[in-house]
Amino acid sequence: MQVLANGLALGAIYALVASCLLLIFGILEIPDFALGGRIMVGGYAGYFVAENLGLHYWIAVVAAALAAGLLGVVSELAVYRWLRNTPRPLLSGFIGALVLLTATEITVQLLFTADFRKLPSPYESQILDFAGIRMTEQRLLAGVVALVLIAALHAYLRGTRGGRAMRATLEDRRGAEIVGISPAKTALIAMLLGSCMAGVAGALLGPMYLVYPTMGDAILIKGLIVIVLAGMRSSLGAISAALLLGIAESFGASYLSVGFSDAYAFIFLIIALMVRPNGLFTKSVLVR
Amino acid sequence: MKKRAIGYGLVLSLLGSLTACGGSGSAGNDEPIKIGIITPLTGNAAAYGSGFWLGVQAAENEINKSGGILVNGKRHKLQATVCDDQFVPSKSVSCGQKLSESLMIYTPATQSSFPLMGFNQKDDFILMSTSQTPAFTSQGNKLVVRSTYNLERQIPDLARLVGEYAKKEKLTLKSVAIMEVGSDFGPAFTEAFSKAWKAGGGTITGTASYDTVTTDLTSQLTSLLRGNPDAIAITTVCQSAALVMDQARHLGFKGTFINAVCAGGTGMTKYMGNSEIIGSNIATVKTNAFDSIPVVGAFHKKYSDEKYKSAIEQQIFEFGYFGVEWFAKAVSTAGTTSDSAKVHAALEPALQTLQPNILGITEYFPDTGDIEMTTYLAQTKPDGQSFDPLGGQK
Amino acid sequence: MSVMSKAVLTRAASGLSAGLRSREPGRREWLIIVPIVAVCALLPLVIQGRYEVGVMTLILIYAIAAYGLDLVLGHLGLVSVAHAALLTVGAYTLVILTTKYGVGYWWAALAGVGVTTLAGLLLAGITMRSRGHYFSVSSLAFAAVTVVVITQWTSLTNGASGIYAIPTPPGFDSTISLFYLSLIVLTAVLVAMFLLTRSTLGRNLRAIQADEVLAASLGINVVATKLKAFTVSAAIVGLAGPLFASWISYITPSSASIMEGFNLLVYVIIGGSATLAGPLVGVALVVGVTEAFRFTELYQTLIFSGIVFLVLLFFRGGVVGSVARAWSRVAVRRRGPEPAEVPEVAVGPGPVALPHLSPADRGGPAEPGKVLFEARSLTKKYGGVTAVSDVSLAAREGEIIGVIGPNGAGKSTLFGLISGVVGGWSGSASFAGRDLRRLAVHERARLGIGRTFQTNRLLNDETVLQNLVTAAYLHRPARGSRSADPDDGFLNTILDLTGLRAKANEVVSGLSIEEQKLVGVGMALAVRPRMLLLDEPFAGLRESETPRLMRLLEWLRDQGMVILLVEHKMRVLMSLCSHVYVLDSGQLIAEGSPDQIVNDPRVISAYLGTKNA
Repeated sequence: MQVLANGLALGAIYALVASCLLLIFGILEIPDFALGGRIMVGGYAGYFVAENLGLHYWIAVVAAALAAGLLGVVSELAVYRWLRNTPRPLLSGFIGALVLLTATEITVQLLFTADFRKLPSPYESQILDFAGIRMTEQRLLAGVVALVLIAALHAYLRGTRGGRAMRATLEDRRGAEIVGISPAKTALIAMLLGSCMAGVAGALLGPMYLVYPTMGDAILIKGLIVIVLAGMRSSLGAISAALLLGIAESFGASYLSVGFSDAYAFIFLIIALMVRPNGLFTKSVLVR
Repeated sequence: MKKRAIGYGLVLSLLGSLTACGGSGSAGNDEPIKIGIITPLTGNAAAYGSGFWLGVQAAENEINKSGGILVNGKRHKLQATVCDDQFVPSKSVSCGQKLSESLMIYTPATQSSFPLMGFNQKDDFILMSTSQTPAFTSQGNKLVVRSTYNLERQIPDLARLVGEYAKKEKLTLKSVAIMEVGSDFGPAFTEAFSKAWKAGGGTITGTASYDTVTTDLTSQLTSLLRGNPDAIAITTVCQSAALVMDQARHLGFKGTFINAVCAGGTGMTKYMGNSEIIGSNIATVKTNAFDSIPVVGAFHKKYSDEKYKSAIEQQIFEFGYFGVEWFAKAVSTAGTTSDSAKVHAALEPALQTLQPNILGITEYFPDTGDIEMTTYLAQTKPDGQSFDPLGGQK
Repeated sequence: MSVMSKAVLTRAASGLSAGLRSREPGRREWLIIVPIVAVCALLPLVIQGRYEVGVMTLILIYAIAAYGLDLVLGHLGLVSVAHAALLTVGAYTLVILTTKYGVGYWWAALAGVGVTTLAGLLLAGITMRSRGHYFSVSSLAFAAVTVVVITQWTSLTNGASGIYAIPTPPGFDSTISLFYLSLIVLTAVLVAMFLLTRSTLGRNLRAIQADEVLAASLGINVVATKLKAFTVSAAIVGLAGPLFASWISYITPSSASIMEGFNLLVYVIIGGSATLAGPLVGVALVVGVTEAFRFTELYQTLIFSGIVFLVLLFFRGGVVGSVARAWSRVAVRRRGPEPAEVPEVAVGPGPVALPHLSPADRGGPAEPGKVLFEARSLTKKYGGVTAVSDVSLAAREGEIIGVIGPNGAGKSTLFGLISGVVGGWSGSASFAGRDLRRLAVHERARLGIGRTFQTNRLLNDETVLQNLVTAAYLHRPARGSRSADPDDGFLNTILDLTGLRAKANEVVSGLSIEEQKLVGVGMALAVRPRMLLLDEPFAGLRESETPRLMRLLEWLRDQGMVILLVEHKMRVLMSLCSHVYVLDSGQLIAEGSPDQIVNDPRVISAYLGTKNA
């Protein structure tokens, strides 16, 4: 049971990061590696607000969202928009996003050094214990906030005008354009939302896993695996895939060889793609 | 079209300007003695690597402020050049080739030093490293030298001291689970520790491998805790050790932590929730973390500046510093600015003049480059204070 | 705001087809290898430091691997992150065999290439069915698993500690000789790359990269070709592995890391993928610049990021690709367009005989009246929507059969079912006595089913002639033949039949829609089909051109070919077809001779009903 709980907590965070990646990929068609940098910037913003200014943890979380959101908007305006404008947007986006990630990490390192920091949170030292399943409040909180944010995103996509416009773009880019939805504006909003959520992820992870320049890398790769598992388009699939991945990793490390624990996600992915080459949660697409 | 032209221009001018500054070298006065530092300044190990480089720079400054190294009545400045290898072997090789003019190259890990062992004798430079791997000094390379313990020599001491500690505290401390770091150190530690521990009547309940960069360790720990160990041995640097300890406590582990790499102190506790160190945690100490030892206390007082804080907490600063200090002394003793073999041999007498030192290095074996270090056991309180749990370790 | 971005999108879209994909190199382009190799060979005379030569050697070694990567990146469009892992596999093989088992260096190196090739085959087998980002992430996973396997297999690989004291190739133990050895290997790789891009394999790869569906319907076995390319790619990387091991002298699993894989990608893209000089230039630029500024510490990475962005934005085909295009633009302006190489052939008034399409050429006389194709109860559902429902049809040799119906009636889906592009259907279909159910698209093409597409699918970046040469792939007499028209005038005849002779050397994307339609028909003919599926070939055709195509179809019919024709132009259908099937909402609502059909009330209501709605 403990193993299952570990897996679910992990999976919820994966789901949050994957949802951001998916939103941005769906609108911008860029695999946004630099999101890892924004997770990290969120962690740093949270750290400075909570540790240096001594403000409450929740204010730190909001600050993290704002900082990462701002960086997301800047990235879109200064970099991604221009990369999409190149002849091979997929390839340029791939490389450009990666380079942007490195640039973000180095900039932060230059500004604040590569030291590890711990984001203080009142929930980190409280341990919950239900029937032998132990978990810190922070871990539970991270999982819950992640799921709430994902739900909120979906409510936005379904319930508001802007959200519906975005969903239209997700489903049919050309069609949306013809109906008069501005792709540039949609892209900006997607980057803002996705980055804010990534920032929150950073602030949630900070107390558990420390804050440092490359803190976003590992989780980003997991998020990427999740959206590929889910078939790049399916948001509900992404959530299921994220939880599945978390559980698979947790069980793999606990019951199979621990030595390979870092590889379970990848092995899981390879097997899944061998069975379903275009994602677990995709329907067959019409090819003419 | 115009925009593109501007773009081409920008790229070209950037490239041009880069080439220009890349080519410039600084000319020293009176033949400086060159040393090369190969260390990660970017990437995952950047914090560690930068701390090391900071220590080297501190020693360099101090030596040069005092006029330089005195060789045969003439003073030579010390010139340290750093090369960022990100712990990637191919980059270490490039760095090594670039810095092969140096009299010594100093690296803070096995990863950075092994790639250089193929050519350090051919290119005639001393290779100093904080490598703990036995193989570093057992291959017959005539120009290598360690600045930290050989784990083969030190781990049996650790096992013995932990046993003494358990006896003194009347703790049941028989079964140990090992969190094994996925670098060269991890498996070597497991092997040496298991041997020594079992020889003392203990058992090993399990091993789980992890990386310094892995942040979620609940899976590994859940698996290890199923064996109900009395203690968990941890093999990574402090911030990663802190994560292991935190998460193990969260999962209900109440036993002892044995830190093989991190020496405890605030460099560890600041990454943990405050109430986390329930029970005990003990660590071997390579740098003497006790400020009560005069030479260490004085050193830490001298470098109490904020900019050194993190490097000192990570217990890497002292290695950068002392390695350079030791080398400089050896150059002076050897009376040569170019003969690396002579300097390598002179490390022996030089060490005698540096007793007691901040690292607790007591002996040097010129034939292999191996050293003997004092092993201490330290225990860390929740506030980060370290103390001697056995009382009266020398 | 929205106006600007629309322009942006259109530009991006048109840019995609604007000649950035791999193209067939000219016959004399191999000459570029000479100055490259010469410059490399002379460099050590100018730059002599041990470190500098060492860096240059590393550049050459990485370049070899980069060419291997470019074979799948530039020519198949697969963004692989796993090539550094392949390189490491090759390196480890050499290291383990020489240091642990005492195998001789050259044998071990050979084994390194072999094992790398096998690893590449494994990777390809696992990932080949996934495309685009799926492929990239699968390759990423492959790299990650490789690192873990090498790390954990300690008995063989010594785990994370790595293996040191790696031998250098006997006779090449100085820095400079390793440099020249690497240069020799690189030269061989360059030559191989050049030959490869001009071979049938290269042509097929370009077709696959441009349009997999089209490639398959031309009879190209897409999966097998990809596997082949991937294997060759891995073998090239395998050449770099042992050299890398000897250069570095100490190897750890980290060489296989994802980051290293990304680096290889960056080299190729910065230099210019699918160009002969690009990968080498890319490696030289990136590694050279990084080495030159290693001592600017952290700022190096920032500067590097800036350069990459600028290259991505302004050198859009990579440095070499952009320079080459700018150069060719200048050259064209100076010299005018290249003269067409196709010899003029007098065209008679009637259709030229096309001996290759005659029945005798296919190994047996046609038997007019014999059922060649038969389908029973074809049904295809997309989710809840039934696109084709319970359709049965038959076609005899020497018949032109019409398929009509309002838009969305399921005609194109029906063609998809027959040609194999659309899977997951029920019912039965047989062609020339073979059950089609288990046959892939390319196998059906090989059996003799040729097709055109409603929305034209062509190799837009290539010339008309190159399109036809690719399409004639199945029937090229000598494999690897590099003559433009190897098939004694067959393609020339097609050019004449379709009236495209004058345009033979023009790039397809520059042609009119009408001409593109004809290219499509020509390509379908080049497959030498027994049954031709034509999806609205007359749509958009000028009135004056219509009779020419009609004559062609009639002539083909007389040769015993079956033609299935989807068409809206009733006049054409009436005069050509002997039998017409009418589809509406996926259902067969009527069939019969053209005369019967036009008077059928159900047909009239289906047409008028939907047309007026």
